[in-house]
Amino acid sequence: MKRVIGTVIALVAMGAAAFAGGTTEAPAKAGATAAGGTTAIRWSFWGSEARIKNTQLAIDKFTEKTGIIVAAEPAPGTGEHFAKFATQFAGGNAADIVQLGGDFSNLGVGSNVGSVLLPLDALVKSGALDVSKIDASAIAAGTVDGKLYALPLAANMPGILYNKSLLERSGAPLPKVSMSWEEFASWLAAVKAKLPAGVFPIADNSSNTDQSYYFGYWMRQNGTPMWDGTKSSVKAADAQKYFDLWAGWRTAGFIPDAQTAGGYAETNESTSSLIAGKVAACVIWSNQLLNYQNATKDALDLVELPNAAASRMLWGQMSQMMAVNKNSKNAEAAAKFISYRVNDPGVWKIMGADPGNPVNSEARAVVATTEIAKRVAAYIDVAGKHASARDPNMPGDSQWNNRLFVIAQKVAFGQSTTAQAGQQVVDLIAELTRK
Amino acid sequence: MKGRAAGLGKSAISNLIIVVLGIGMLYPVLWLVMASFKEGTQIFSDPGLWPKTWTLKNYGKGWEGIGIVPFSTFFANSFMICVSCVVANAAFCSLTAYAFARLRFRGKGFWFAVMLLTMMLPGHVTTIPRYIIFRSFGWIDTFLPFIVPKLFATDAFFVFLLVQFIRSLPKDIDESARIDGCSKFGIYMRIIMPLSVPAVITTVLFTFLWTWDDFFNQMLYLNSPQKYTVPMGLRLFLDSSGASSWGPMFAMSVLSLVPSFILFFSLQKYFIQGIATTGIKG
Repeated sequence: MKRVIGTVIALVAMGAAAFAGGTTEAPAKAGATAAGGTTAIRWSFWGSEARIKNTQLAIDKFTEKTGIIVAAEPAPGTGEHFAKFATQFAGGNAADIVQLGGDFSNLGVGSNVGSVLLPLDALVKSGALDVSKIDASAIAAGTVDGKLYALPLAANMPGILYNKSLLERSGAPLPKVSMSWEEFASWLAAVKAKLPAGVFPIADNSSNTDQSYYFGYWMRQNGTPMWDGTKSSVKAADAQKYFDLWAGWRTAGFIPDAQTAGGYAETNESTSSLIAGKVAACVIWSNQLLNYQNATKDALDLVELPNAAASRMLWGQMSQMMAVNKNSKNAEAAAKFISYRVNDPGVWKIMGADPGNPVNSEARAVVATTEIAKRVAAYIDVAGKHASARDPNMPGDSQWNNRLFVIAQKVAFGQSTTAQAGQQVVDLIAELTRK
Repeated sequence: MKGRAAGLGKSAISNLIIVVLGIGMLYPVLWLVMASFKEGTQIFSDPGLWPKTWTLKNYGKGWEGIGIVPFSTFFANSFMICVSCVVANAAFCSLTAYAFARLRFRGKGFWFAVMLLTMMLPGHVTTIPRYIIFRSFGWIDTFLPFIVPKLFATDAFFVFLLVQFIRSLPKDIDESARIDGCSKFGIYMRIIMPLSVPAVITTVLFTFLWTWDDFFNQMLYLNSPQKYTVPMGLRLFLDSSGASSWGPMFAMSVLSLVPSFILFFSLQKYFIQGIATTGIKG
């Protein structure tokens, strides 16, 4: 019998030893100098199969050119990427190159970005990192306290996605790319008159957690920005006007009733009332067009949020910022790879418009080859002219998103008046910015 | 006669309620299976159960994996981890449970309380300390952080479950065996283990299911796509900021259910017996 137990122990121990290396040969252990004097770095990012596959092709070409080995560490999901990064950083094992979102908020260190990331200015000076063709707005987005910490790959803009095929089938007019609020309301009324029963002109984006930038845009174009870095200009009456707008649309039947709208989180194509055929339009980010289009046979397109042309208050949201871990032992090699990823036309040809509209002026022409990339580029050509510098993130913006959702839902379900909601918004901003 | 009819009526109503509830609970799984046969453009635009057109493309594309690693690799990795964890837990949790339930040793009560305390500690509290320890061992990007702790019976829930079961076995059998000259280890192997099969099967089943479905720990410790497991592979089909492949994700989700289904249904008899006799039925 002892033999049996001994065999079990031996089996598990042997298994553990054998499985220590996995099923196939892993990429070279990075973070230092690999065997034979080759430099090896690690790059942690997130993405789905298409991005991972293309990234590997791009890495292979980079290694061929420079001899630097890059171990790709794709995380399954954006949130998961940051959870993993936080653990790795705490454990002293973060990758050399770290991918961020559109800003530094996911690092969870406030403005103390230098506690986690390496300033890149010296690497720009040494020529390891070429920023000569990068848009000034992108460099500004990656700069904190006068130091460059990250370079975004691309920029995206909010827009109104509409179902062109549905409107054409119903005999409803197509929207103009740029509209005033009055024109937009008239368009919604004209669409409402033509759509079949149970289908609404536009989704209720008043309370969607991921879409609450719509509130931010409304306040910007209203002349009362949410946060300028030190204070908020939002008054209760301004916030009430925002909720009045949505309440009016709900009463007019431009957006679904609260019960119907509550069934769609509107965070992506899987929870979209537009894809489910319940509405003709909704608010998305320009880089989401690909996923939405892939989820329906109907043709989709983008127009600006109302009043963008007159107010010029749209903004570009940076996408996939690349930064160097402050503890990296191969910062120069990491900077060279970032430079390659951001600038090389060959790598943009492989990756396409996956991160959005490139911030490298030469790359924009390279990626506009697919039908969807052309549609996004056409939208950004117009909307980009109606954009201005992005306001800083309000402190505690994830709490803001979650609680705005509750405030707006209460209005939708008749549990709060728009005046109460306006006051709640102002109280919430005061609470979050006081911390 | 009237009473019999009333009884039949009651039974019919309760059966009907159970069937309706059963269908309600099965619907998401049925929807998943049906969605795996739909074209990508139909999945959310036509969210009904029955596909308008049937396709097997999702299974082909899903099996190709993430381009640089086929999905079969994710299955192989998950199986390796699961089988090792199942064998280790069945062997070492039962051995530890036998010691707590039957043997006398100094500090037994204290160590049993310590073991129970580990069950009450939220997993997230120990995430970073565990990561630092395994990193110092050089175990990051290997399967060792999942397997080696099982060799030390660290799953307190299973130790507790087996202790409860072993305590319910009559001690007379042990004593008879001891009189016949059987050693402590012999009693464990010849008496306790054969009688504890239902509880061990419960341990096997839960260990497999929890390891097979574990996403967070595998995501944390594995860095190379070649070592990724099924839950990670499934998540890699989706990206809110890039291109998502819902169809292949649903198709591989269906396949990922198969091992759990087979294991559960083949061991169902023992599993229910285990639940009924270990006191975890409430």
